[in-house]
Amino acid sequence: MPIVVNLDVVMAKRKISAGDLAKAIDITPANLSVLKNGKAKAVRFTTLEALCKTLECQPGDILEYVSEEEF
Amino acid sequence: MNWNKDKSLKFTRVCIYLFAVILVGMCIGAPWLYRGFLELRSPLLDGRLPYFLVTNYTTAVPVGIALYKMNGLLKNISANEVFISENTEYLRQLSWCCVAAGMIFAASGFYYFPFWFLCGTAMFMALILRVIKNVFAQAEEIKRENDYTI
Repeated sequence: MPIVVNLDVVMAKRKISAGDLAKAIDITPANLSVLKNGKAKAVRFTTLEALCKTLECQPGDILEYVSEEEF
Repeated sequence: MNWNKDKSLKFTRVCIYLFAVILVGMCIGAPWLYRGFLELRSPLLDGRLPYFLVTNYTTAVPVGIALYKMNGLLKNISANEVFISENTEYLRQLSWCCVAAGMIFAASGFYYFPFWFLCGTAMFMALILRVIKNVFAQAEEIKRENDYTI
């Protein structure tokens, strides 16, 4: 899929663990792992909002569009 | 009586076992059953007993397979696993079992025409199952998408 999830990069910048982030945004670590590994089919606005709030970033920092050729 | 999903599933499974018993009974008692039937209908159907027996035993195969597949489908539904690829496959196989039975009835209609009505019924059932199978395949896709929406 041409949408790349850069959650692990933002998490590393903010120095937050997966467990802490999952607890902070109220999702299961398994679901966070699905999101981090780019296996998710869709992201709810509420989840994105919680992520941006916790990680103090913009949606564009987490999600990136890469064209099919580059991908 | 307090009727719920579990009781409904149990009832359906009891019906499947009942049909399995009827199927075994039909296979064991076929020679006597059809002889009695032909005695009532003779002389028009004189000497047709072997044909009826062939129809009975060949139809028993897809019917037996269908009962086995239905039992598997219900087992999965009881375990709350509804929209999974295994169930879609079960429905596809059930549809083919109906087609197989319909073909046997179609051939049997040449010596006893009422079998053509059974053929029509079996083919229509196959069509219904095919549509349900397509619905299941689509629902499976929606469920997968929903499961991966975070």
